[in-house]
Amino acid sequence: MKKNAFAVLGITAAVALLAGCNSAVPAGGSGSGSGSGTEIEILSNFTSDVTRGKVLDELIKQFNSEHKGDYTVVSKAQPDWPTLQQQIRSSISAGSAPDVFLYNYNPTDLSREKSGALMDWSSALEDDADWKARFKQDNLDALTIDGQLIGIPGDQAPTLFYYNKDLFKKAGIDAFPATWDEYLADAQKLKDSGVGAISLMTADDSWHTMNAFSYLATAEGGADVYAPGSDLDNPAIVKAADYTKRLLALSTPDAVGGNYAASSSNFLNGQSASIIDGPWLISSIQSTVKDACSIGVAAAPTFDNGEIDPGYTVTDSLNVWGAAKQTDKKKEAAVVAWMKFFTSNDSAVKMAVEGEYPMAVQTELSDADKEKASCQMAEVLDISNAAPAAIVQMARGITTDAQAQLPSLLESLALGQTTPEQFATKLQAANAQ
Amino acid sequence: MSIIGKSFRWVVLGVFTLITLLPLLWLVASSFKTQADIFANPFGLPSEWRFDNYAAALDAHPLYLYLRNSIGAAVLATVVIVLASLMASYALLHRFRLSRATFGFLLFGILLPVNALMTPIFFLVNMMGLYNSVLGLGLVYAGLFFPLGFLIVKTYMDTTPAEIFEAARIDGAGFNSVFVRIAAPLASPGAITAAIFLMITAFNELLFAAILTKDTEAQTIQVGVRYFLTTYSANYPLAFAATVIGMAPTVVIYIILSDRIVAAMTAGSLK
Repeated sequence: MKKNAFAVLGITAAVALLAGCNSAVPAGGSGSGSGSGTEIEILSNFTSDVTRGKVLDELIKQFNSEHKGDYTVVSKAQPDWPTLQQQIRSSISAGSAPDVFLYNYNPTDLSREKSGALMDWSSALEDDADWKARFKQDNLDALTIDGQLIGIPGDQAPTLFYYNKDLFKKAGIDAFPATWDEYLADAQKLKDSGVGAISLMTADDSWHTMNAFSYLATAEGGADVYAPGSDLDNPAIVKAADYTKRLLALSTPDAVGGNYAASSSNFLNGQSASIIDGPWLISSIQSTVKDACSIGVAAAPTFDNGEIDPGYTVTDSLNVWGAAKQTDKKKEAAVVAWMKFFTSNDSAVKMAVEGEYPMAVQTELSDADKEKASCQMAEVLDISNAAPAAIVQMARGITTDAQAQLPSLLESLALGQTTPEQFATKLQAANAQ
Repeated sequence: MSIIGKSFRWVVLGVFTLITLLPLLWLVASSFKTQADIFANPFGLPSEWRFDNYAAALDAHPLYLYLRNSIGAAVLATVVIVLASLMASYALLHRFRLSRATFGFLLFGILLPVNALMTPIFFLVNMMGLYNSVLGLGLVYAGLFFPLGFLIVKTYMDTTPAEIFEAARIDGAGFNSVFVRIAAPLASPGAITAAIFLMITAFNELLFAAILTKDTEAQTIQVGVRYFLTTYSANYPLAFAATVIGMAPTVVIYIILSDRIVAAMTAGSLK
């Protein structure tokens, strides 16, 4: 009996080892082509489960076909964004940065950019003026660290109000409100009609709540109200906290403690009437909401106090395509060739129209493209193009200490354990650490 | 026992069973619902039984491959840990210079926050050419979970009466022979207990599985389920179906081995 037990242990160890050795051979992900020419890997969160991932796979297939024998691009997707970022950091620390990877640029943490492991794109852009002209100079300036352009702007998603026109109508609201006070009055009507007025959440990075908070703060205090180095213990932040508290009370019952998935599902399933989110929500709207065009898109209200022009947008942080510094010139050429293809107008239009993913490059949609675009994407592009200002969401620019404390601070605010004044003081203290 | 006592016992058992089973039943029921049904009717039975959620989950991602990888990494880690724990525990039955320090050193890992080890582990695995492989993942698990296995096996082996080893030595058994013929077999209930805990722990691990792999050929079922719950969308019915598929091996093993598991967990509690 005991001998048998040891035999079983030995056999299972051998099986496990064989299984492990078998799997140690890297296999091609989506888009792996013939394996000919120079191969590069792209690490992103564009899984084939989301439309942008499907479009990326199609673009890779097209690129591989056009460059057969020269280059092969392979996509490796990590579904979870924080895990992807950790994977990239670990890879860079271990001296084996991925060939091409998507990461979130944070001006308060330049550890990746200053690691010396990233490719400098300056000469590639300088050699091709047309390609360089496709990017906003502001973005290129932000990504130029110590004279080196350390990445190619990927996306800077505008967060906008998505609202359920049917639920608004049912509550007796004819048009999306222009001021926050009107919005609160309408929110009460929505709540009285039996739905949450707005989808909010406090878990993780409190994304939806911080979008609302950022809009409220900038509406009251202007574009620089929480710029790096600002004192966050100011009247605009206090007012934003006060209105956020009211919004949380008019949200769904699971807002306090809820996460992104719960909050967005509440909106998609008609349990809340509005949400402030990025354009990635559009693919879920298209696949989940029966009458997808009943979801409208609107710029956020203001306080009508002249601090900021109506129609401005709060955006997610700039996501950047970085690349490993290459010693192999062929590989470097492959990386540049892929990125030129990926950021071309044709690719950007395909990504916007079919992938619901507006890229941070000039994207010119033809009339036919506009016809093909979803009702929400056309509105998103119109609002973004017309926006007088684009301000990065507050949580993306504060320190990691302050980011970590946001969920508990917001929960205390919602539960009445912290006043708006105390919220501002504590947030400033966390941000100053 | 009085009727009141018996009733109380059944009430406690019933409540405990409900607390244990309800989340599992909720998960299984939800795996047959539509996305809208999950939110509109979270605690009821499916208004329309969607058996095709399972087929859709299996079509969307290679869940069986992920399962194989999970089992491979978990078995490898468990075997390595159990063997190493048996040997270390046997060695520590003997007094030698720094034996107490060695014991403390072997258990020290239990105090370390694993997140702090992320980058060094990534560096080592990458340097050894084991990044993105089940072998690498299994060896990392072996290192991470060794203190847990060692603690269980050592505690059990310490209960073996010293007279048994002395008798074996008098009969002519050497150091290695005592280990192979006496110490390890007598500690097998403890080793089985450790193996069960280690298998479950390694099978359910997500963080390192996500960081240290990038291909379906090496990713585990826990990573596979995340594909249905991405940053941008959450397909709960398919995620729940995938979770049920992922849980199936451990549930089946538990049902088959439940007597053995309970016996193993209580073995050694009485001398």
